[in-house]
Amino acid sequence: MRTKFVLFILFPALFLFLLVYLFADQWIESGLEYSGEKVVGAKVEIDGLSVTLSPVGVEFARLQVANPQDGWKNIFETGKVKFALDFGQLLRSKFIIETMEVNDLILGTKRDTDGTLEGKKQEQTEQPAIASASSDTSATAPASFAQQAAPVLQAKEEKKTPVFDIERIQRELKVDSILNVQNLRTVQYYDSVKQEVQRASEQWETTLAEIDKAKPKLAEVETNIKAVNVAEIKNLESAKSALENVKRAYESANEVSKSFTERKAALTDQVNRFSSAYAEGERLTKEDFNAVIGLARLPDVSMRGLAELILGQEMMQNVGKYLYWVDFARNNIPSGLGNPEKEEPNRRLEGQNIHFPVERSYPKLWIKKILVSGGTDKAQNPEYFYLKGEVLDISNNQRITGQPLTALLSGTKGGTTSLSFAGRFDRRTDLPVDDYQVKLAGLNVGEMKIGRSDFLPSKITRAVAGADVVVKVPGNRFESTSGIAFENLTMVFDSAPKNTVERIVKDVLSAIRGFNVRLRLWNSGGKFDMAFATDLDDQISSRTRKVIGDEVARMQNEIRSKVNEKIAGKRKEFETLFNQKKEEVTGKLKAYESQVNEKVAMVEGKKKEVEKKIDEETKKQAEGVKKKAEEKIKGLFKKN
Amino acid sequence: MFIIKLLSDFLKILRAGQAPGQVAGGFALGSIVGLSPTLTLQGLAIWLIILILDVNLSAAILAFTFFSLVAYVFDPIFHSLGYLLLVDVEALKGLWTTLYNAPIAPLTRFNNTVVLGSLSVALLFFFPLYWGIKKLYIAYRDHLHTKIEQWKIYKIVSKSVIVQWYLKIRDWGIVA
Repeated sequence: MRTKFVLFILFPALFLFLLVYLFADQWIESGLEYSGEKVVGAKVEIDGLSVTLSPVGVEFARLQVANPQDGWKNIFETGKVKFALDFGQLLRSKFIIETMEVNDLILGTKRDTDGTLEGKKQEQTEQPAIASASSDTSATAPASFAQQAAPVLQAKEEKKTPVFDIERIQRELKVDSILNVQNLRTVQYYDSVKQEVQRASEQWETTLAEIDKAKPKLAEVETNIKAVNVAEIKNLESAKSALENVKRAYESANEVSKSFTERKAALTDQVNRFSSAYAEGERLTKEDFNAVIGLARLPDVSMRGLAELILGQEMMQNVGKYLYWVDFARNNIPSGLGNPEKEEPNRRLEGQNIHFPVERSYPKLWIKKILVSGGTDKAQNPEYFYLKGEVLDISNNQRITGQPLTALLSGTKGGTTSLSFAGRFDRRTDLPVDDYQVKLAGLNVGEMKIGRSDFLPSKITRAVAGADVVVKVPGNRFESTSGIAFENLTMVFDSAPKNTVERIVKDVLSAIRGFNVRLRLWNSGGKFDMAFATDLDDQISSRTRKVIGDEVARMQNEIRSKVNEKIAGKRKEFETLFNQKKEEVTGKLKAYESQVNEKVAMVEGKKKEVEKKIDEETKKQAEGVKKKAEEKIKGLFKKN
Repeated sequence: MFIIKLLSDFLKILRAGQAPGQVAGGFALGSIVGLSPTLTLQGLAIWLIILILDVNLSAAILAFTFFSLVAYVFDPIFHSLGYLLLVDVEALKGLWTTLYNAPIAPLTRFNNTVVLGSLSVALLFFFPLYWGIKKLYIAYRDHLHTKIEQWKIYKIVSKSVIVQWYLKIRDWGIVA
């Protein structure tokens, strides 16, 4: 044995071991911090890390993760963290942790130093210069949810303040100037209908003339009927002859009556058709009124959307911040579908790797359970949230672990505010699915800006808020609903109201002690949309109606009466012509109808008289025959 | 340069004063790492054995170089042998599965057909190679050594910088 060589190897080996033993803590600490910073994008600081050999594990006294959106705050910080690694898997370069203990997890703590990374600081200062470049790259890379939602959030933030100055509207409102007759559809309509009535009346005249042509026939019927004198009928034959004449007259009269009835029905129908023109005229009048109101730019008394104007800006900024974290989770929880590591080609025949059944397959990193404790009540700082709960199955490949990452955390702040977070990040299939539910209750809102610089700048100085946020992110789709309730609030207004509506809104806001907001944000087909609803709108609306409703209503009535005045003239013209023509037609029809009815009644009367005469003559004839027969029978008996 | 190095290694091995076992042992161990297609755990272990044991280092390096070159030709055979052992021999499957699930064994890359095939051949030929080299070395030393020392090429090579450097290290006692 080469004893000198052994010593030559042994001493350096011992030295190396000592070196590793002395500096391993620092190296591992730096390595973990570097890896964490790469993921988070802000400083990650670990204090007092030490490596234990039995069991192989790590523990450290404190972990601070800076907020990449605000370098002077931490996303969270912890107290003592301790975990052991599976030694067997560590030999296979796999980091498997059964349970990680995290003590004193606190959210949003303030930092003594700026937690922004040097590279990021430089990016922030150079941002304007590289803005165009980044927009170019975004064209190729799939847009994040924050980028997709940016246009709709920006549009809500920059929503224009409508003109609400009633005094100015009153001064500037010139109803006559906006009432151009040419623009009133009702006026045009009545003009057009009047011409139609004129044209139709000519047709009605023709029809009446046609009816007139039946008059000689009626006269002939009358003459024929009068010619039949029942008193002059002496026998049955002449009676039957008279009945035939009457029946012919009856048929003629009925023919005339039927023709008249048909024409009368047609005429009445045409005339009545124009009666419905009034209903259409009324409808058009309403439209004309609304159009003129629009030109007058009178405010909608309901004041819908005013609350969105007041609350929107702050809310949209917060939504933007939350979307950053949704994107963060989507991008940083690996799906296990990454590209395979590049292998150096072997110069010699590479052979074939034969794989055997594995008893248990492990991913590169798997933290099976993180037990989070919020620390003891005594030691809690009332400014921060202290969380407790557990996070399960953090891994770099959920397809191998078969488990999605889940987090169930709850916490309190100052003993009054409670927070719960339930999250599930599933990367086991091709479609990543993220679900979150956050509930917040009893949050003391220190100061929250509301209003806008151009509309009632103000802030909530004290309030208790509660929120319930549900977010579902299956694949590229996004759906979130948030309900936020403010209670016991006090507001401070930065300046005096500039106009009536600002005064009204200020009055409303000063009087209320709470309101609810519902916010829904979703994307369909890659386009984000947002719905914002709050009962504050109802409160402002009812108050507005009381205060400016009367004034607006008066102005509306003025416009309405002017519009009606313009329309009334045309309506009258139409009405006069129509009524005149209608009366002419109906008058003539009535006259014809009475004539026809009279002639028909005359014929029917004569017919009955003749029929009666025939009955009488028939009876008389029968009795004469009977008498003759009796006399003949009596003569026969006398001869015998 | 490479040729001179190889030649000088060869001459150093043949130099008088080394025990035949040391030379043969170094050569046989060197053949194992030389036949292996890639760096493996067992390869590192063999190198450590070579360095710790008092075997001829030059013989080991020469064997490593020689068998690395020769192995290219035999890789298809190693592949077939490795496949046979890993797949076709049912009796061994239990062993392979156990090793596959063991913590350190996968670092040996035993489940690669060429690695296992070449290692099997190297182990199979270890003792025959050891015995053959030993015999060859004794025969050389007894019959050919004095004649070769008279060769002009031997004198040039033995006085080269590399050989002088090697001798200096050897005199420190670290290597044979």
